[in-house]
Amino acid sequence: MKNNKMMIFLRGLILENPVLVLVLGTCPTLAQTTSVIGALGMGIAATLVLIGSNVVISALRRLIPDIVRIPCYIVIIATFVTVVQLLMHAYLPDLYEMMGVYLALIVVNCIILGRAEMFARKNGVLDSAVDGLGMGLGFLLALLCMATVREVLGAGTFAGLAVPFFKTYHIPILTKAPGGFLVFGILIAIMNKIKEKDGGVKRKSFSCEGCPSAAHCKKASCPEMIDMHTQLANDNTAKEETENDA
Amino acid sequence: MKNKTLALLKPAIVLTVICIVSAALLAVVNKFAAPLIEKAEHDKQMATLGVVLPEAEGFEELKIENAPKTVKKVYKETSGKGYALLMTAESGYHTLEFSLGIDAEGKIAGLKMTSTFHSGGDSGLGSALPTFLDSYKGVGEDLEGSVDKVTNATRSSAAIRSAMADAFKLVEDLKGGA
Repeated sequence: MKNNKMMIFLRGLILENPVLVLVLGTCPTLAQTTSVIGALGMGIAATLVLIGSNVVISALRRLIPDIVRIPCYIVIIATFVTVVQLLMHAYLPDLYEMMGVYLALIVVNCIILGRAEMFARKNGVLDSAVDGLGMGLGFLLALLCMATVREVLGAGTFAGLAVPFFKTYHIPILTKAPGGFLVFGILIAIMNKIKEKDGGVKRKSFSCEGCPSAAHCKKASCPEMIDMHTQLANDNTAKEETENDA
Repeated sequence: MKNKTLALLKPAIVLTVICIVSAALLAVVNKFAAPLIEKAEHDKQMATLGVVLPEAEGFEELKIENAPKTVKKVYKETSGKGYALLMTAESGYHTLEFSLGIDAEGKIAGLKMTSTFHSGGDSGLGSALPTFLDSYKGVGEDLEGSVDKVTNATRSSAAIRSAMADAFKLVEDLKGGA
């Protein structure tokens, strides 16, 4: 039981890191990693929203009809984002200014809606909270790694404090968009190399199973799809037999 | 029949209830956060005024009727060292906000961008921003000696320049009336 929770937590933190393995939330990752403080703010805000929305969506999972689940999730996520936004504006106005439009854009962050759809609506409240925490900290960790590289090597500072040597010899392009993509690519490559030892990168939670076109996809290479097609075929046969009997 | 109606209504009811609860929660949070946000905004404005008129000892807000659209607020330095103005300018793409300090001699004492889009170095005036702003320090009503336009931000720089002309005119009127 305890191991299960730890596994859920570690999956988000490292094994299925939302940024470096699942390649989600790329927009805030590239935009908010020019400074460590900005990355920290974005990571903490997203983590709070992830935990809150996962818990509420999981608690309401039996009440929310399938047909309106996405609008309901968006309302819940938007509520948490607005709460975080108001509190940050009130208590941390400088950080709020620094985050700019990206704070409000957490509403449409793929990681949050992705976890709601893939995990929270299928699991209990506690597991969903642990998943939110793991994924949120995974997002924060990835942002901090990237922001450290970009700020130290690109601007010669760390959290706004000058770093000797790098203050004189830095690479300004790393703080611009091309530098962001470069560092992002390198970090993903490093993550893939590390995971190669464990049999390669697995993207189970976000693979075909969660794809909106899954039922129509004929991709034979995906074992989950073969299972799904077999299940669908069996269901259809059973349905036809029942209709014929009737 | 009854079940069918309920099945049709349930999604709408659930979504409506979630929206109402969310709105109520946000209203409660806003009730607590609004005064703090207002105070933070006020402190930020005051700090900006101190930057654009560094020698100021205090500010008194002036209520002005028929002020130009570009002038949001006008503050008079309490010991007569000049005026600080919160300005806005339309570039056609963005609304630019900035603070402007005009000293007792009618020269620009300081200029600071406050709108998010132009406060950093990512876009618009971008890396030319510090040079652009510095060129206005010490400049008088004729704006002679300042950077006229910035490449890649011609409309933004022209809008700021035009708003400054409004500010000088208003300050002249205030001095004349005083």
